[in-house]
Amino acid sequence: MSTLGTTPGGTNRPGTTPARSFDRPRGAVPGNLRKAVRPRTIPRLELGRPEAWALVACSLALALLGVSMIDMSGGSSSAEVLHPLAMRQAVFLGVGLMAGLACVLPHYRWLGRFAWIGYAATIALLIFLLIPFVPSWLVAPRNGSRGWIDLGPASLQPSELAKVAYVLALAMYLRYRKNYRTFTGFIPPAIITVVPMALILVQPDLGTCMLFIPTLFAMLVAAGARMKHIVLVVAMGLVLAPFSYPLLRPHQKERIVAMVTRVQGDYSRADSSQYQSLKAITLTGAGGVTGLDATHSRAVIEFNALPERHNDMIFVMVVNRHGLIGGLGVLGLYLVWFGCATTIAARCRDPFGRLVAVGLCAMVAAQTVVNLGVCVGLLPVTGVTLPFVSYGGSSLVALFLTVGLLVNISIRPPLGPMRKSFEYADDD
Amino acid sequence: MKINPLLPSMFHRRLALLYALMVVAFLPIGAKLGWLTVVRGDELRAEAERALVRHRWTPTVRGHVLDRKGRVLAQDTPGFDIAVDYEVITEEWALRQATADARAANRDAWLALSLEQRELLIAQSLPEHERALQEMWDEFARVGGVDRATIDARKGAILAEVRRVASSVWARAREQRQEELTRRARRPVEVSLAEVVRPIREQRQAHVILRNVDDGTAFAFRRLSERMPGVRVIDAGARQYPYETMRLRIARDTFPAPVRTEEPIEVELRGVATHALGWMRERVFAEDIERRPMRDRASGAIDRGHYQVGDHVGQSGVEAAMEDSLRGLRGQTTLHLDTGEREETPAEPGHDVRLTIDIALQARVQALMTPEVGLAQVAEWHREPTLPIGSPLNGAAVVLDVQTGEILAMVTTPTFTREDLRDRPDAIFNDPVNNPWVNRAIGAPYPPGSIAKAPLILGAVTSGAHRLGHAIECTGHFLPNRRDVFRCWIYKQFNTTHTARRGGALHAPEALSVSCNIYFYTIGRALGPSGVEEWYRNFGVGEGWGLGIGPESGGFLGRIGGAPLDVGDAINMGIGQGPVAWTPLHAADAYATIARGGLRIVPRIRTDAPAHAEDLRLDPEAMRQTLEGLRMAVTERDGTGSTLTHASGSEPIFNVPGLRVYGKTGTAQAPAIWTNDANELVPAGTPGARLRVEGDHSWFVVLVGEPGATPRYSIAVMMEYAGSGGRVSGPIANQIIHALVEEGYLPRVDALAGRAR
Repeated sequence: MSTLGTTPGGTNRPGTTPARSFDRPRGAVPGNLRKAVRPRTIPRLELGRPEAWALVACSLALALLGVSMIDMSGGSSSAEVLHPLAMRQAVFLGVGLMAGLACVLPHYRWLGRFAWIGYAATIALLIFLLIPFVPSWLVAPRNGSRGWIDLGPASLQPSELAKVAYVLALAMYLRYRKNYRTFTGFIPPAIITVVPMALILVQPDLGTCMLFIPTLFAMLVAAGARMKHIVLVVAMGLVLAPFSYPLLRPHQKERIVAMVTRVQGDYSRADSSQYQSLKAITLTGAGGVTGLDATHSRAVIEFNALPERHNDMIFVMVVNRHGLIGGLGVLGLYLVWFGCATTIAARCRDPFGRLVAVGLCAMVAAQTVVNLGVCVGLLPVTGVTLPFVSYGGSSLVALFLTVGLLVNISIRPPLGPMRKSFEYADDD
Repeated sequence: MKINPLLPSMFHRRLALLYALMVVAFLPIGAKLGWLTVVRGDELRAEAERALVRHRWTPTVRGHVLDRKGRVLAQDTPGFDIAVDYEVITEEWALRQATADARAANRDAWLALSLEQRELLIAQSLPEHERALQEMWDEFARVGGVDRATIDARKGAILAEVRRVASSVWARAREQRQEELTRRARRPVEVSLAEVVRPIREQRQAHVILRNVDDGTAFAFRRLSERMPGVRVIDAGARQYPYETMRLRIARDTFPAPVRTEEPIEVELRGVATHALGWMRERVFAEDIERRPMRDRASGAIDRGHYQVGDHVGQSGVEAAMEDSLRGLRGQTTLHLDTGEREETPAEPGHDVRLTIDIALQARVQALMTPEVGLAQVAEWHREPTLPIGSPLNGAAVVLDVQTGEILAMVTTPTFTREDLRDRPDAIFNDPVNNPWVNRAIGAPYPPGSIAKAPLILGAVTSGAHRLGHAIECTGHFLPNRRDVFRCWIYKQFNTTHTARRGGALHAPEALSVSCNIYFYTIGRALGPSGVEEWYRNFGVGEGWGLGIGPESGGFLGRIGGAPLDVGDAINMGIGQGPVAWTPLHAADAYATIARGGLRIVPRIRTDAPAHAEDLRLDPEAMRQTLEGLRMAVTERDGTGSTLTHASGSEPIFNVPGLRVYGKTGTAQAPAIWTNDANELVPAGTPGARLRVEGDHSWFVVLVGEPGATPRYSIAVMMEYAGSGGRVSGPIANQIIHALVEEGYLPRVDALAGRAR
């Protein structure tokens, strides 16, 4: 293992690092001291961390698979080397890699200073989306959802950035506290969560909105909230969830009805609300164990006219083209990715870094599970994309920001002996 | 405390828990993926690949229906229907165009406009589109070669019909919704009509404005459809029935004197053989699609004969019975969308069906039974008619070829044309007195009356219940001390007995000839309930023939409710009354069996139908004496079927020279028809009910052939509520023999020279 700037043989041997006060609450250090202890030299970076490289490798593999699938979604008639959409996605992959790299360079704790600013900025963007009479050349509803700001060559989907900003902000909030170990302590994190959720919900984008909930709970669990509180809140949420049904929009209700009737074997909506999931199931199964060859798969997908095939339904194309083997491969890549992210969190000793890693991993995992669940017909249709694979510039850039952050956390050695964070003897 | 190096702290344990949750969340996804790809993989792949091919169906041609001489009775002719989309018929199209125009002209501002402003903009461009549409309809009428008023009338009829259907669909939907909600809420729930109003299928599809236009006109409409919206040219081969209406000259110089004329009468026949042929329904029902779906439910195999909306379906008669054979198989063009390959399966035309009917003979028989010709209406010489003089008489006649069992003619009156079906279905289906839709020749049972006597004497002798040597005295009434029941007709009418008239007891031939009831009551009693039933059954009563031209009545035998027959029934059934009924075809069949010496051949109406024969092993001497009796009945002075007496004298009923005729009359008591105010059948004597028809059914069955040879044709004539068999049905049977001669089925013999010409 070759690492840059570390002593061989160990990364965080106690005693090798001078005592530093980074892990102390901010107010506890006098201002003049804070400046003095900031690392001025290039910090020792552990660039050889295998989990970091594996994370990047998985992300790249998934993104490249995505580009190839988006190319296939263009149908059998494209004469170009790459379908224009796939080309765009490849460009965004490049942009995402740069953004991610940029995100690796500064120490994540320094980035953490901008967490609240980032949070406020994304909230502002989300509010901007909802302002009536914003000209339609700037905010044009897509599929009835006001989620994109049109910026000429590309468009920005603020909810993607909001996901990252939210994790940073919540991590910033939770890192040195323990009030969330009381029941009332759940209130501030809940407020931090509900603001972006509500703004995304009214776009409307229920799918993205719902991803914040598992992320919140994962971060609370990691931060050491009492399990009995968590279990109680989750149970309450599950009990109350059905009562929120009347609050849903008609198209959302219809998707749930479509799913329930489909499972019951009633295909009467096969031409309307069940169409997408029935086509998805057909094309998924059609892949068989080894998948169809490229030309055949293109044709089958083109003439079955699967809606959102380059987008929410891209996993269907993966299985159609590469079969069960390809599908399980993708599942495996995600599990490795989550494993890497979890390892990064586990190796990190800094409470902020830990929570950021857990939060980002949870956000990606929730989105992955929801998307795959929809594709194989276990969940009603939502508008959630498959991380790294689905078409979408903002999403891809935001995901590589995520990867950048995780790599950032991974390669920064601990800055010194730290108080153990999130350790409570009385609970587990 | 021992620290686990992998999970050194609570944070790490919780991380492990979170990762475990992620893995657990993936498990059902992986499992479902495996199930879809491995377990259902092949099935789903086949389903996905179906989208790669597009099938287009090419029409086939329905088979012809031919008569025994190959004349075409029904054929598909190329023809096209011109249909127009509903919104163009309602002229909502203009509104939609105007809206689209207004939107296009104010693209950006449209969403910001208020409803009133929008309406104003739409109203500005509406008149222009309305005018354009009116011009297009004018053009439509011109291309179709009809005047605009006709088109507008047709449009009006379509709109009215669609509105009627829609309102009934909505009313039903509302009722169902109301019931459902009431059931769910457990209290009455009101649903307004507006909640259930949705466009029905008829409001989204095209409707036929012009039917059956020719090739050239269809081409012109195809050109028009490039300019006029919603015009569709549908390839709808029209079914034609060339002999449906005919004009025929009927010679009346051999008619009974009161209606005899030297000049032939010209009759217009409507609906020749409609019942036997059936007709086409121009709508496909869900039942048709259920019966022959495109894809077999079990095997998934494609049936090229499946039904599609727009198909015409055989309804009634041979068109319905032979539907599957006549229909043919569509052709199919399969286009592989991914490779551009094209496969063609040519259409297979339907098979022709050949009937044993001779349409010319059929037409002649129908003409004879047309009231204005004179035989099938109530006349003074019918004696004691129950209906006013001149009333038309309904009935049926069947001509069977004795040798083969083939039906040469089968007429039922009244009949109707397919145009009548379309234009005044109520007159056909809702007339309980005349019941035009019933094929009386095979579809309605009638008490046989005295024509049953010949089959029964044969049965009684063959089974040993009666000896031919045993003469029976006609005593006027069968029970010595009851003068009011089981009487002979001669006792009823003339208060005498056959024995008194003839001066002795009767043997079988005389008994048949004079149709003595006492003789046959005795035969009925001798056979007993089971014997009577058995012999009626042997002659075909109780079951149909499987002709393949639609519903058949097997007649009936036995009491309603299944109570066993008693001796009283047997005695009554000896003269063809009581719990027994058959159809004219049963009668012709029974007599054809007698003519064959006891060999029963089940009647057929399709030349390709297999012949089923059964030998009843009738007693030869009884056969001889029965035929002798049947001959005497139409030749002897006192035979019931020999003489027609009218105001100007009397004449023989049968007057075809050089032919040997055997026959039997029957005058069968029949239940009267009562209807209520709603024109529905009700039991006799119901308060407020009206007596519509009463009286006896008039039967005549004839075997005819050349002298000294087996009879060649069996003819049964039945006229409903017409009274005397000899007087009403006899002359018709006689004219049918003339018709057989005219059509070459029997030799024409010069009356004076006495030899075949």
